[in-house]
Amino acid sequence: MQSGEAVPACLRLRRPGPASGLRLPACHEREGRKGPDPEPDVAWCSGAERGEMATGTDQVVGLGLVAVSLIIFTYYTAWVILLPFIDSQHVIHKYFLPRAYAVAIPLVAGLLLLLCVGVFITYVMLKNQKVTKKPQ
Amino acid sequence: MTKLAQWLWALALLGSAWAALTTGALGLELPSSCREVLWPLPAYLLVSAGCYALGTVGYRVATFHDCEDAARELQSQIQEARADLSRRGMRF
Repeated sequence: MQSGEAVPACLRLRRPGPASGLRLPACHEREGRKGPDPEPDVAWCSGAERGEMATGTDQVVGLGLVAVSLIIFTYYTAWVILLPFIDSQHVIHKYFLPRAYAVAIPLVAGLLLLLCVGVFITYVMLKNQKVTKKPQ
Repeated sequence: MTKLAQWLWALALLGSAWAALTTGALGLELPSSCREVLWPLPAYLLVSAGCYALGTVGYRVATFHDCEDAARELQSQIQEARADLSRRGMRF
């Protein structure tokens, strides 16, 4: 069995890579066309759910993420940067919360994120401890 | 100087500048709209950095190329490896 660690040429974005044991064919670009269904335990392809390799869902999810980030960015920029320069009697102030929330909401969201990450780490550590205790 | 030291320096510099301006320790008379923009600035930078990260991840996910031939060949190599290892006695 070959023991190479090369990544297929099409996965490397712009840099040439070392030639090593694992020889893989050069991949030409195509629009997302569904490939053959892989084995359920091979899950290294891009953004793949187990047993599915759909560029369609990937594109939808990716573009959704881009859209969400753009929306959040423009709303937040308008809130923090633009609003103080707009006359306080203007109707646009109706669409934005009071200014204190501009710091409070991201802070609370950040704390929630840290909490979720901590809970996940604790869960994984406890699961590992149980697994190592059982054979003993 | 290490990268961490550079980042910490930059953060300390910008942070102290921001703190000095918001608390009015420099004695500058900024117009009230500028003060309104200034005090949420750290939160704004964090949120925009997060949005940039999210957007970049989404964009890369959307433009990632599938390599069908490479995938097929890799799978056949995995089958080979499994057959080889189970012949040598490894249990899956």
